[in-house]
Amino acid sequence: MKIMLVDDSKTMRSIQKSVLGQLGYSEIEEACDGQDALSKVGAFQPDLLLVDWNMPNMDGITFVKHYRQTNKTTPIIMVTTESEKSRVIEAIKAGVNNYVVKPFTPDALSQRITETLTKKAA
Amino acid sequence: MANDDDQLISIRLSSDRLEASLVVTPGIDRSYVTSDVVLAKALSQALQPNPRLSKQIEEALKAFAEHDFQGKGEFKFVIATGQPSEEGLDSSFTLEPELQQIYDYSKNRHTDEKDAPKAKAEGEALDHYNRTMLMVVKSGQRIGQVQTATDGSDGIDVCGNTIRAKPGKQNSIKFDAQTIECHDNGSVLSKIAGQLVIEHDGYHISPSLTVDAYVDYSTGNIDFPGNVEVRKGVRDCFQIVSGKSITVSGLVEAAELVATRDIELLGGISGREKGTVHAGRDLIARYLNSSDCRVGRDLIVDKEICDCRVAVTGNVCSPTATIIGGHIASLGSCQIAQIGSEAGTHTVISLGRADTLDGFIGQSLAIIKKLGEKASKAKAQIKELRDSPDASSLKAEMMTSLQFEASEAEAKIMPLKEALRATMKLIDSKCSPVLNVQTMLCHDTEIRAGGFKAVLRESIKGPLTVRIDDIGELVLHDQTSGSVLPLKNFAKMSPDETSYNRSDMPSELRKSA
Repeated sequence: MKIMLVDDSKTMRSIQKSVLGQLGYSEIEEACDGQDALSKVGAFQPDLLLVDWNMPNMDGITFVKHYRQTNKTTPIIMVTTESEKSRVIEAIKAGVNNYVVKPFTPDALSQRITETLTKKAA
Repeated sequence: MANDDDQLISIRLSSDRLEASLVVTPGIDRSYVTSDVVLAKALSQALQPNPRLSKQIEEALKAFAEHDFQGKGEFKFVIATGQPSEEGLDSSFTLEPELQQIYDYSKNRHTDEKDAPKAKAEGEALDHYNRTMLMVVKSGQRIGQVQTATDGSDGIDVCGNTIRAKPGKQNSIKFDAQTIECHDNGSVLSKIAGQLVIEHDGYHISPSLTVDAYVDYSTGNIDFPGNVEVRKGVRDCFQIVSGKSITVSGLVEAAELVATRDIELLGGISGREKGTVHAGRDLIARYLNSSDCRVGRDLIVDKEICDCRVAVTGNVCSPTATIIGGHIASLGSCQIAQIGSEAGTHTVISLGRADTLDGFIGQSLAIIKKLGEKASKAKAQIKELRDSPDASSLKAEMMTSLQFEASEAEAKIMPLKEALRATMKLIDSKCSPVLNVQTMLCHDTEIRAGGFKAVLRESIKGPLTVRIDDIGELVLHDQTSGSVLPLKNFAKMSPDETSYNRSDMPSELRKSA
């Protein structure tokens, strides 16, 4: 299982990486913003993406819209501080499959990942 | 024959009657052309008789004598000229050259780069960050000069008639009287500091600046005396300095923001370890990420403070925000939703401390110590010299020089002690080492307060308060159960070595420290 983490915060990426490590995922690629992620998805071909919303250069929602133009199936989980209902709806409309609001517990992130992957397999 | 000759000589006037020429056509009897004939012809054309006309006629006749009709054809010689009128100038306003350059550049920037400010020397790189589009003026600065309309001066034609000058038009130049003053000599000065705005041929100074788009290469860095509002974001490496407050609606990237008053970041900052925010008063932000922040009063963050180094002289009032990673030093109380992450992220909170003030105290103490040592050394040398029996003039000179050295060092210590006293007073009045956590204080969070360092061994659910009790021990107050327990029950304790050494404090300041 290849997972791409898209977040401008190195600390946040390392937290996610550590949670994913505990869950047994080791094939992880990191990107520091939407643009960086777009340049890496082609070569890495992730099976799951964890994407932050607020990032410089290209924010998460713009990245999802771009990515969904060529890839409709790979699941995306938005991991962000944006908890307002309108924001969640905007993200889902853009093509996000699941949503995790920061601060998250390792359990919450793990649950959302499992949920998302199960839904995809079904 | 004379009649025929008379037809071949004439005085020709130019259409504007500013020039009269003697014209003689080939075939004339040369003896017919005399000064009397020419003068008669001139008078018949209403030319004014005067010595100059007579002299010009003489010159014309000399030239005529040498004129070769066969080679050159018709003979023509100017015998009188008038004075043209000088038209009046329209009233106008001329900007000062440096403002005009910015105005031309901002006006043409989309179409013409030739007006862009050039590098000062050949080979020198042009600083695109400092290519401003804003005509920023100080209060009392000269912004230009008004030229009033002139009447012009009348002219006179060859016949002595007046040619009326056309007076200049009195264009209406509108200056906002509230912000711009015009002196009688035409000098135009700004009454207030701000941005000079030209709209519909009118000039005014706006005390605040609104940037409708991004602060980027199109605007250059901004250094503005009033409030600055940016409707979009601030791009990497750009700088905004405001004499009042800054509000940014979009995302701030790795930029530098400095304001004397408040800074409001509605879209947050993602500083990528290079962003800096220095607010003289409050810093209000949606979130702060990988930035260095100094806050003169309170810090109010809505969502998250991640990987930041923040020094707050007031309180941290962010009950809905999470702090993950980085170091927050707050002189006042600190109210937060969550600190650290359950996955374990080392996060440091310093309570009752403002790193910027601590830095100043530390540096001042080091300088005071050094100056004190210098003064003592000089005094010891003076004593040594005084005790020796030798009484040479060299010894006297040395003692004078050492005395000067000692008193100079002591004089430098005085203002430093005063500044330290003021700083300690500020710390005393604002210091409130209390931490309120609403939801979770996660493990690996480091709390520094009262000279101790506590690293949490386990995560503790909120709401809770960490404070220093009456005997100077760090305690944790569980607000749900009401229990108050020593923080050492949950954390690994050690002395806080980052705090400045209070034993170095001059004795008279030790009490307030």
